[in-house]
Amino acid sequence: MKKQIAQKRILEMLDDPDFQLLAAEYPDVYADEIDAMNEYVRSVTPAVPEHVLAGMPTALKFVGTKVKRIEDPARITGQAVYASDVRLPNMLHAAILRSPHAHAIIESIDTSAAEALPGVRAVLTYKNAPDVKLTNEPVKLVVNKEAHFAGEEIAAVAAEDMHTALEGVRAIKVQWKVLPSITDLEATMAAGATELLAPGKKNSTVGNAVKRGNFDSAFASAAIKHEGTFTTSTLQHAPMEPHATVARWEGPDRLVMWSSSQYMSSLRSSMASYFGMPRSHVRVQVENVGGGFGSKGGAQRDSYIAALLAKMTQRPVRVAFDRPGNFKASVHRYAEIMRLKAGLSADGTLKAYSAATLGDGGAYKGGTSALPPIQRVYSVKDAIFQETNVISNRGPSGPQRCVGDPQGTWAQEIFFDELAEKAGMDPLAFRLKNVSTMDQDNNRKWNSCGLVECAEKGAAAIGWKQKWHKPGAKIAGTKAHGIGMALHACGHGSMSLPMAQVVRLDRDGALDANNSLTEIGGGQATAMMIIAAETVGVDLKVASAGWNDTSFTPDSGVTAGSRGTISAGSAMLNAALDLKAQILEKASTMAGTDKKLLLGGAKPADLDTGGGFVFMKADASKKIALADVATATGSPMIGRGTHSVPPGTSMSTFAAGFAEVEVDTDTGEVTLLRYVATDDVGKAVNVLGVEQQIEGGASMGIGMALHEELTWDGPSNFPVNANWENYAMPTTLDHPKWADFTNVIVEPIDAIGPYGAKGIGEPPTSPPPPAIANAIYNAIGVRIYDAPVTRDKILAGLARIKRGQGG
Amino acid sequence: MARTKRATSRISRRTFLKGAGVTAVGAAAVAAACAPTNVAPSATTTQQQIAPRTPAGAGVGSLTKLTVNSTVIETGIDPRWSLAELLRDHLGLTGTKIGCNRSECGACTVVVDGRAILSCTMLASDAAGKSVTTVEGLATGGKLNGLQQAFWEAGAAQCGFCTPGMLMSSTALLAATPKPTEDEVRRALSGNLCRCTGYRKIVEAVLVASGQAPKA
Repeated sequence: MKKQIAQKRILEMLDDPDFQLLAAEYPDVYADEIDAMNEYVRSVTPAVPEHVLAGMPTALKFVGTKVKRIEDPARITGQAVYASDVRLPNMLHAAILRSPHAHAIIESIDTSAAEALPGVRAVLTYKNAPDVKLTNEPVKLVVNKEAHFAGEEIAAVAAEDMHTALEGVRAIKVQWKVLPSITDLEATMAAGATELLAPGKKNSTVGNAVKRGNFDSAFASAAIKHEGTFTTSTLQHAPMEPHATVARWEGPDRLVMWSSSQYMSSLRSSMASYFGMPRSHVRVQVENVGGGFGSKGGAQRDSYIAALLAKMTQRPVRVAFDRPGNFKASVHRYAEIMRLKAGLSADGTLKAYSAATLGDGGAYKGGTSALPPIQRVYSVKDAIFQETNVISNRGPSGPQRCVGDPQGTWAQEIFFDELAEKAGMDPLAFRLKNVSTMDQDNNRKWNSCGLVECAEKGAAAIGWKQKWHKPGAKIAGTKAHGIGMALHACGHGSMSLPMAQVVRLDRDGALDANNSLTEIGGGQATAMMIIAAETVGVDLKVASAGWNDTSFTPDSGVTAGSRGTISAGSAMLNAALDLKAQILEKASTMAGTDKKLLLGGAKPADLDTGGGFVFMKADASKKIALADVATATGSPMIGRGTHSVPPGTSMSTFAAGFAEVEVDTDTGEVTLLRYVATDDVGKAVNVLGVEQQIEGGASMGIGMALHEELTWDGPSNFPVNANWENYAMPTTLDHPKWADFTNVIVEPIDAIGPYGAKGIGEPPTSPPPPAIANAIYNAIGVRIYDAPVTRDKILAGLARIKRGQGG
Repeated sequence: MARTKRATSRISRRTFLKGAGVTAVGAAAVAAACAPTNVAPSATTTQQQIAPRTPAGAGVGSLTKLTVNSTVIETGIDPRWSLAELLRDHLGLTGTKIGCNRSECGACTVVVDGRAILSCTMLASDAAGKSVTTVEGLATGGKLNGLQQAFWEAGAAQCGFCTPGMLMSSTALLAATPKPTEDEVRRALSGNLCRCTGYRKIVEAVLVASGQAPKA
């Protein structure tokens, strides 16, 4: 049932970067809002005129090639400045005091010893921080009196140097009253203890619910029935650069910030509203960000704390989380419990399917979204899917390289491996028999769908037919070989929010595709430059794309939800087409006015651009340099473009993963011998960038599969491995060799994206965990339902088999 | 020490870090450079006395001479400073990154007298008389060196935050082993964490820089 949204609310949403951020991360939850925004923008934006659209290049020169990134030279010479590198004259350093308890309230806090330290300039606590809500459930301020998770920011000290700031933090005396903490999701739900946070406030929220046909009767009449429970662990994004902000006030109502935020325009608007200033008075610069993966959206607490301390001291202040602080207080990928149930007909056709998911939202309302792959990958008429999200006293949850899709795919793809076995079918054949190419919940075809191609090409690349064998059938001595696969459909990389961009041609013929799409490592600036240069017809060597300052670039949206290239890129394409139409128009009027100009009497439609020239389509030797056209206008030429998705469009990204492992049956050690990732990217704008995203996304999936888990101490709810020493992020040695870690790019050109592109940031992360778990099952006959698949679980499974209790 | 030892086995990073990384520097460095901000005092454990004293960096410490990127530098060094702190906060060389400040991630790797060293847990004073090369010292005359060029062409950098450490570990490797095998490259870089790349293009870049194509 589609939600009706009032126009007033639509306008608010469009003007609210914080909402844009939410919608980007949770497109399935906010599908109706996204549709409404797109429809509104389409209704008020003039359609792109035919003659402008006609400028679309037909032969591609740069799109679809490997382009060296413009972001890199500064990064490989040490010249790139990240927020944590900014050093300003007279700058203070801040250190943060974090709660040692998962749920506790401050009875008293004494900062006098800290304030008395030579070199300490300000101490921030709940007593002197403005009482403005950042989120509502439970109430979250910049520094709270009540801590809702272990590691929450309680106080901050600004001092002349970091050593003194740290001493200041240690000198703060806090008397805590420890409160009951929510540690066990299921117990919490079962006990009905849903008001632990505050009287009358539920601590669980119901997320998406999907109902098709009649699951109960379809399941009752199914020939083959199966059900299972699947769980995943809390994971940390662990970007290499911890959260960092440097803030400087320039007078009472002008704020300049350097931050590691993934969405500089949202940070700007959040600060403007927090301090009651116009947005134009906040300037945010995000030149380089050392990774984000969803953890650095908009304004994070480092930004608020830096801005407040800078205001208190009237000096620049630098806040940089330390690594344990980042592990504890930055958002997490939430742990999830998922129950799946399915019925098949005797020939292996999926007839009934249900899923109930319970996500650990952590402290503060995060939101879950494990359903997209479950809704999308397989065809089924009778189904019921429901997600629930519980607020707990663990670290706040949030999107991590997808939101819940990797969790949902973990459950679904192990489950479908089991179903294939029950049906007596090869796992690949079983999946292909049941795969869907439809948006089943809207009953229409996907705008583009490369799912089957992903499965088939990946299977061919890894040699599935030759290598798949019965579980446990290939063990030599202590070495067992196995192969496994997974399919995936993603809610990200496909949806698109309305967006606007500008592009500028200077009088020397140089092209600037400046925008504020924060560059967090994905090569977004290079992608925007390629789209603009290809469309306008200039060489890459005279093109550029700055990306780092809200004062000089429009809001180009958030780098999250795999939506940069598709949303901002589509608007950039339209801006470039607009610029090209202006160029052709101007060039046609210049014809014959100067002996150097050889276009005599040409109409815009007779002209095209390329290589920095306008030329006659009929005779390419007749040409004018773009620099001459721009010069003739007397000012730089500016193209403007907006983008919105037509109503009734269903978009999705798709992927498949194939893993080959060797399991040591003595030690339980898993060696990932080979991994093949196949991803439907619509069209690769920069092949190099797409490969990077696939390899990096798969790497994060390998971590989720075999290594990573933030471990909570039961009674205290304290994360015991909040550092890289004990939280095992994969290293060079945990990946297959260069030649065995490969990808296949599938390109079913999508009519919505720029040059057919879809997003690629997140989808590659989901297939590896279940593909690897399925390969381990294929090797040793042990099923592991709880990620990560660690040695102890493998050895316990092998012991069960030895005792005749099954894997 | 550090790098060769950590490169010897698959589990070396985590086990090694507890031992060698810390002993290489001494407990004092841990106290100074790695003092955690996250240790919150409990209700009854905040009675410590804090002695007032001069803020760090205000001309304390003895004059120390060392070479940084071929330039001899004489500077006052606070005994609490790590080498990374000296480079980043006092010499303006912020190309060296701090990912963890506790010898876990390798982002702060620099080359000291030919060896890859974690500068976050080496005392600055221990660099006296030594020659330090940072990422800023690789390019000459504005021209990328072969390793940097290979990183650019292979697409070995994404967010770029681990990149300086990767480059410096690779620099030390190639100086000692000009034609490393793929396994040698992977072992030499196993103490350098990267969250963006999956390491594939980094390994490729190092092999290419050594004049070898990665083996298909």
